[in-house]
Amino acid sequence: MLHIWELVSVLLLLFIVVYIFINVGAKKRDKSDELKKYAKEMSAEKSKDEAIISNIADGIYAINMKKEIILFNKAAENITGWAAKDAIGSPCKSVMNIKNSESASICETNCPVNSVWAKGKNEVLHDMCIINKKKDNLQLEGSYSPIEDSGGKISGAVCVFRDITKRKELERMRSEFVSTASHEMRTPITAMSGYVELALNKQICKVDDKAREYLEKALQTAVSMSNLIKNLLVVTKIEDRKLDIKVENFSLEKLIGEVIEVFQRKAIEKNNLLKYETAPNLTIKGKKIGRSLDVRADEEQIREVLYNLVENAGKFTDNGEIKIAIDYDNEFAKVCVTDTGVGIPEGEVNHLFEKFYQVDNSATRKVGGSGLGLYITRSIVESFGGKIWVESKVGTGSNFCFTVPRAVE
Amino acid sequence: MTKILIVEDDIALSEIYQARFIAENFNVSMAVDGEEALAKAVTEKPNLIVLDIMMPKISGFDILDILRETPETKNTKVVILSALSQSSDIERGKKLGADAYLIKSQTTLTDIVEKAKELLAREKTETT
Repeated sequence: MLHIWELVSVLLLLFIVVYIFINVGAKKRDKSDELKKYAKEMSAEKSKDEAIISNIADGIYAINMKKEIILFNKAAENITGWAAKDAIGSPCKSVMNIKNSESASICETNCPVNSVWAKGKNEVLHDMCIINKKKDNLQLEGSYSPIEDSGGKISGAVCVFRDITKRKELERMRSEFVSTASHEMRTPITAMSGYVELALNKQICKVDDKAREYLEKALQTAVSMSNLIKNLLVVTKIEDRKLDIKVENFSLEKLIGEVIEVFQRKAIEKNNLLKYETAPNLTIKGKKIGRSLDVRADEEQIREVLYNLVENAGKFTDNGEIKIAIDYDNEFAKVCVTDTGVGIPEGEVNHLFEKFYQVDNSATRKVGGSGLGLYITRSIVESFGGKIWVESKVGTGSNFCFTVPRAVE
Repeated sequence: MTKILIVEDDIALSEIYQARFIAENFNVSMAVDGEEALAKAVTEKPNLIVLDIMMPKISGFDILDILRETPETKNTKVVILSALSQSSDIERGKKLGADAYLIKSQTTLTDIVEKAKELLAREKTETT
C-alpha cells in the first residue's frame, strides 16, 4: 500500500513531465509557425522582386561567371525576340551578340562584361547593336554592372538595356536634314558675300561712302550667317558623335604659327599685337627642354579650337595684346590665349561654354555671335581628354586655357 | 597674260570669280562641268585652275585625278574651291595633287586671288 507521501511524489513527477511536454511542444509549434511565416514572407518578397524586374520597361539580363544567362526579363524577351526559357542557360553571346558600329562582334574581343569585372564598376554603352531573332538590326544603349555575393566576391554581371533604334533613325534623319540644308544655304550665302565684295572692290565698282558703309555691314552679316550655319552643322555632328576626327601626332607650335598668320591682318586692323610665347622655363620631370613637343589629337579640330579662341580675343580687344602661350606637364600641353580686352563679368564665366550662351552686355551686342563657338571648342577639347577653362576680369582681359594630350615620345 | 580656268557649275559664283580675276588683269576662261573643264585644260593650257568639287557628271576629285595623269596638265597649278570642309575631303584633295584647298564659305574673294597669285609666283620660280 502506498504512503501518502509516495503518492504525492508520483503525482508531482507526473505533473513535471506533463508540464515539460506541454511547454516544449508549444515552443516547437511557435518555431514552426515562425519559420512558415518567414518562408511566406520570403516568397512574397521574391515574387515582388520578380514582378518588379519582369515589369520594368527596360530589358534586363544577368549572367554568371561562365557568361551564361541566368535572368531574362519580359522586356528583354520583347526586344530580342528570345523566350526567357530558351535564353536562360544559353551563352550570352548567342542571345545578346553585341556588335560595334562596324557591325563586328565585340563579344570575343572587347566584351563589356570583361572590363566591368576587371574594374569592379559600372560601364555605360551609348551605342551598341544586336541582331534579334527576326534578324533585324537593333541599336541599343545600356549599362553593365558587376553582381557581388554577400562576401563581396563578383559572381556575375547584370545588363539593363533599351531599344533606341527608332530614336537613332530620327537622329539620322535630323542630321541628314541639317547637313543638306546647311550645304544648300552655304552656296547662296557665298554668292551673296561675293557680289557684295565685288561691289566694294574699287577696281570694279564706284560706290559712295554711305553705300560702302551699308555694303560692309551686309558683308559682315553674311559672314555671321555663314559662321552660324557652319557651327550648327558642327554642333549636330558633335551631338551625334559623328565629328570627323583623325588622331595623329603634330607640332602645336607649328599650328599656332599658322593660326597667327591667318589672324595677323585682323589684329593689325584693330591695332592689336598678336604674338606667340613659349614658356620661359620649359621643364619636363625637372629636365629643361628647349623645344616644342608634339601633341596627339586631330590637328584640324585643334586648329578650330585655336581659331575660336583667337577670333574671340580679337573681337573683344582693341589697341591691346593677344598672346598665345604653350606649357607642358608630363601628360598634357597647356595652351593659353590671353588678351587685354574688355573681360567677362564674374557671374558669366561659368556659363560661357554652354550652348547658345552669350554674355549680355554692350560689347557682345556690338560684335554679335551665336553662342556656339565656345560650346564647340569645349566639346572638341574634351573629346581628346583635355580640359578648358577661363579666368577673366572686367576691364583687364581674359585668359582662356585648354589642355591637349602630349604625344608619347 | 596669265590664264586662269575657273571650273564652277553655279552660275552666280562663276560670274563672281570671273569678275574678280578680270579685275586683277587675268585672262579668264570658264567651264561649267568636268568634260568642258578637261577639254579646256588641254587645249587652252591655263597657268592655274580654280576647281569646284561637287559638280554633275564628273566630280572635281575625278577631274583632278585625270589632270595629274595627263602629261599636258600634270604640272598645272590647281586650287580646289569647294563647300566640302571635312578633314577627309581636304586630305583627299591634297593627296590627288591639289596645290591648295580653300573652303568656299570660309574664304573671301581676296583670299582666293592672293592664293592664286602666290601659286603663280611659285610656278614662275619653278620654271625659271
